[in-house]
Amino acid sequence: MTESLLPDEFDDLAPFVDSALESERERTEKKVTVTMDETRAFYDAMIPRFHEILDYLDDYFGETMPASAHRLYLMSLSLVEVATLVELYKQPGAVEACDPLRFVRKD
Amino acid sequence: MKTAMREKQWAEKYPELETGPVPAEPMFSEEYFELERDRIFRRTWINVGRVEDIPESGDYFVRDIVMCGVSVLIIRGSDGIVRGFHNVCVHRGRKLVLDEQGSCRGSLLCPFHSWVYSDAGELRHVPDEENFFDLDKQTLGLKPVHTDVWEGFIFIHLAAEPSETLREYLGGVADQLDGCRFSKMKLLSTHNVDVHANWKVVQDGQNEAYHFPFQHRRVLEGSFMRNEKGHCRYLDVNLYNYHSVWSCEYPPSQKLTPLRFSLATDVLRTPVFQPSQMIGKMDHFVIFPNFVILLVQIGLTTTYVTYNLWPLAVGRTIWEIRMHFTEPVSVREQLRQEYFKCLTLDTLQEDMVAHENVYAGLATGAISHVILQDDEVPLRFFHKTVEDHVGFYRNA
Repeated sequence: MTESLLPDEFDDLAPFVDSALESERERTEKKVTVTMDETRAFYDAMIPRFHEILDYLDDYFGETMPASAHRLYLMSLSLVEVATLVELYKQPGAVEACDPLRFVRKD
Repeated sequence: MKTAMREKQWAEKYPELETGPVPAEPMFSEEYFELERDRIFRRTWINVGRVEDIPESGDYFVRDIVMCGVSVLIIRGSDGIVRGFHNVCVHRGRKLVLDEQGSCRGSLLCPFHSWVYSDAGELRHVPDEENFFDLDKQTLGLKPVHTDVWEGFIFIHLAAEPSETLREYLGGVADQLDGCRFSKMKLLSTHNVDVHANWKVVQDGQNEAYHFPFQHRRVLEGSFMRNEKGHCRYLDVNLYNYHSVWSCEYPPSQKLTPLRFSLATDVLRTPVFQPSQMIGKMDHFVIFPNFVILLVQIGLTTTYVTYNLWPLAVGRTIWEIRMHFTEPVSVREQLRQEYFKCLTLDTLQEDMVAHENVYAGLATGAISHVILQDDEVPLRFFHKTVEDHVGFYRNA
């Protein structure tokens, strides 16, 4: 039996599992390359479940998460990164901003 | 004290700064930049990092200060003391350590001829020593750089003899922030940006809140106290010997989005951490010349962000951004910290466009002066402090 990609109760978010990206760099690259429609679809799928997702993940706080929960955590990081586009900027990036990839993560 | 909304209050508090325009030339002049090298960057205390960067004996990091053409090695000795040295072997002058950071076990070795130094900089071993002439190892350690620590921040001074101790130099900023427990906040992220602008333009671009409602009209919408016309006003502005701080308060209610609402539900579980040293809810300290400590209250806890501006050339600066947070107590709090990081980076990405285009515009020479309003008083003070050191116009 193979482990499911996401915890069973969040199985419906499986179409967005490509947003489970390990590094900040990968998440930022995805943010700047996908269309606003794709970002909005991800946001619209995640936001109504976000309370539930956070409650679920908080049960694992301070522990090693199973791979499925870890993916959900990474998807939550992606949501945190792109939510501003939908909620504040209404466009694919901050207002009159430079390319975010010019900010190079050092650590 | 509460945010006062009246106009022109800082010119009343600091009449000696006057209210006239400020010369633009120092921000793009090669000649001025050359003077800054010796009269500012070699004559002031420069922050190079934090003690947490080198927690264990033998831990070190290297700072290449391009502006001054020096490479500085900061290392914690076996005795726990943080010291600074020129990162240069005294034998033939090879750069000793090539990696940006690392850890040694008690000694550093120059790979060229295997000269060995202790983690306190003493020359310990010279291969084939008998074949040298009058070599006295006792007198030949690594060349020290004046190094001192305040509240965990490591500063260096490149002069042969600093005219002030670090404590004297920091003056009122140290008085204000002593005991602030920066060590309680842990480094989450470090970002470097290569900015095509003069270092002072980058400093200026961050050093006022006048631009918040315009340049950051969406990302900072409703974040800080404003007057009835929508202009940000400071709680207070304090000018010290060389340094400054401006402080903002938050409005009674902040813009709540679905994401913020989900993240905030356990905010009251976060342990309270609100240093009494803070003046407002956000304090922007400029530590002359190129260092910023930004203290920000988020919910019940507090974070701090630092900027180090490293000039490479008159029109090029490495902007180093570090963010520090208290230990998270939940996944929600981890994500709140990540959200703060994203919002801050977004804000700075907007600032970047201004920095580079202000520099590009100034460098055309079209305007001889910049015009500053009352809430841009930190810039007025900063440029006066720069010129007090450089003396370009004093001698003209």
